[in-house]
Amino acid sequence: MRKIFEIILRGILKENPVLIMMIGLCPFLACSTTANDAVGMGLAATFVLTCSNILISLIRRIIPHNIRIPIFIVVIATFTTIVDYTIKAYFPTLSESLGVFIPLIVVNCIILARAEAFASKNNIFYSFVDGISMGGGFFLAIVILGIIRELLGSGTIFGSKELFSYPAVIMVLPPGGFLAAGVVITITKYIENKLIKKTKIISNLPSSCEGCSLKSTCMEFLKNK
Amino acid sequence: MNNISLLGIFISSIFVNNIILMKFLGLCSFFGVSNKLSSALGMSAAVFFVMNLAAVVSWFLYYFVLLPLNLEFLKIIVFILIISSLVQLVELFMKKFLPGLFKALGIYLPLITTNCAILAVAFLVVDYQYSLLQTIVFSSGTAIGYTLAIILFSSIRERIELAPLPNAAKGYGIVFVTSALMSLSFMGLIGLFGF
Amino acid sequence: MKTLNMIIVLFIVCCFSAVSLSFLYVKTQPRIQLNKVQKEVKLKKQIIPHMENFVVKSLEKLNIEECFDEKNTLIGILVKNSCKGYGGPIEYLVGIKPEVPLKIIGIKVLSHKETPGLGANVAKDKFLSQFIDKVPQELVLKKDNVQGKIDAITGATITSKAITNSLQELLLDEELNKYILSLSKVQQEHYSLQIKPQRMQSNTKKSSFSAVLEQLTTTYLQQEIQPQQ
Repeated sequence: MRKIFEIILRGILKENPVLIMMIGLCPFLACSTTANDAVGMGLAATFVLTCSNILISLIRRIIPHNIRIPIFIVVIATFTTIVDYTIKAYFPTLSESLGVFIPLIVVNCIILARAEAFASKNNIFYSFVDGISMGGGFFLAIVILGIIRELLGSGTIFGSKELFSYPAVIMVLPPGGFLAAGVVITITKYIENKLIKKTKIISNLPSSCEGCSLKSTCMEFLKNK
Repeated sequence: MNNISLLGIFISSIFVNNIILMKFLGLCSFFGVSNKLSSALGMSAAVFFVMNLAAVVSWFLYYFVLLPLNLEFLKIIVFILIISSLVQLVELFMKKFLPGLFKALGIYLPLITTNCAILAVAFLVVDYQYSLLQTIVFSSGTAIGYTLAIILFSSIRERIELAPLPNAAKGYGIVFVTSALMSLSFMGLIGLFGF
Repeated sequence: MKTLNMIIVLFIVCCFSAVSLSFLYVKTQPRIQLNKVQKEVKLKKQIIPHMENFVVKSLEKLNIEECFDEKNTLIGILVKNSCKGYGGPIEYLVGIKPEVPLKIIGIKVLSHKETPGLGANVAKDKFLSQFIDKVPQELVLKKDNVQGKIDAITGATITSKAITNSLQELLLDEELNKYILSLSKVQQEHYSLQIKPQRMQSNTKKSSFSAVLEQLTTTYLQQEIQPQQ
């Protein structure tokens, strides 16, 4: 019971994939122009993450160690295609606005990283909880950014009526995405510093390697060199 | 096929539709390796090489294998597998025949597999229905745009390191805000040569 | 032995994924096609609200659709056209009144690749409704000409100019003008008797629009499914 609680807390707060670990940034910025798109993207990525976690945990004993990465990729790509076609068939407007970013879930580092770091080592139930909580962390982050950008940039929330005229259009454009994300990340870090007394000093390069599934490969390479 | 002029594709893929600053692709590597000018250069050289190769190979694969066999729904799986095995192959080839180049680029090659810019270019080329020549122009333009953004940014970032900042803004916070300003300046290029 | 094991596992996983995906593809593909058709039919209905059925005609350069209301009188001409926008082609569907000088009844954008937040506003009714009921000379941006009556989209002059010019060109198109002139000379009733537009609906109880949609759906599904069987 305690472990479940720990996994949930870690996914949503302590190791929030986007805001703390800095992985999966592309959809985080690109699909947050409106809150609706953000919800769609968040749900799609959570679905793929949870399903691939479950399946990989299920077959973890029969996967030969050397080819685990290609197998993870095939599993993730399969679920991504399922999501892609389902959205195309049942939510055509969402598929138009998310465009190429749905197929790109396959290279979202969060999913491969969780498969390698968690699902291939833990049982099905824990992997399921981990998928939901990591996906939840991503979902939360992208929806917060989506609401901020939509509110400031088009003056609406979830496609409602315009709350005020003359919104700051820049917020839905690319520069606004970077700006809003920068502010959100700074605030998160401020809160983190306040809550957790010991301040972690995150150096620049390795923090993006932390969650990366290829970290071990890079380390090995550096050692050999 | 699409009949957009080659010059148009080239210029818009470098400046107007810059893959990092305007399309938000390849951000992980953009933030990851831009803290030093030398690593930015190495990464962008590797990206230039693999992006062109991947775009051309997936173009051939799509039009000569997947479409004739009516298998376009396997696009995602096939592209990602081909790109990752291509990267492995290039790595082995370099190690054996071009050890000098391998020493310079080797570390960046495995990182490229999960660089979404590469896969995105493969998808976009198919989406936009480009011809082979347009594909080559588009992928090299995109790679040059990537290089431009990452090199400019790494130079700025070396200065940021020295700036006195509040604790919370250090690291990624200020880096994002800086890239917002860069993205803003690239937006000023909208309408360049009428593209 | 180890290598063989690896190959077998990878092969099995790939097979599983290919089989499940092809199953998914067969299930969803008809619906995806249907979505496209439905979207277009819905848009047509929004452009010319009282439209009941239509006849497809092809002129030399343009493909047009003549739209009739329930009394079989010609109420509009639908033209699908595209122009070069800022980010790529903008495809649009425009309804034109069947009388000279040509005026626009309604217009909808089918697809575009404009910048979200700026050029993408081209698809919004707030911009598009400006074109309705204007003579061709007025279809110029206000800032370009005193006669112009179109406000450009903020921050997207290229997009606004592209679609405005393209619409003006279309309304001044010689071929289209000649054709519509010839239509208005012919007695309306006589004309409609001669041509006999294809009546798509069979069930009178249903509202005819949904009947058209249903008919389209079934024909489309049949077309789609048959080759696979």
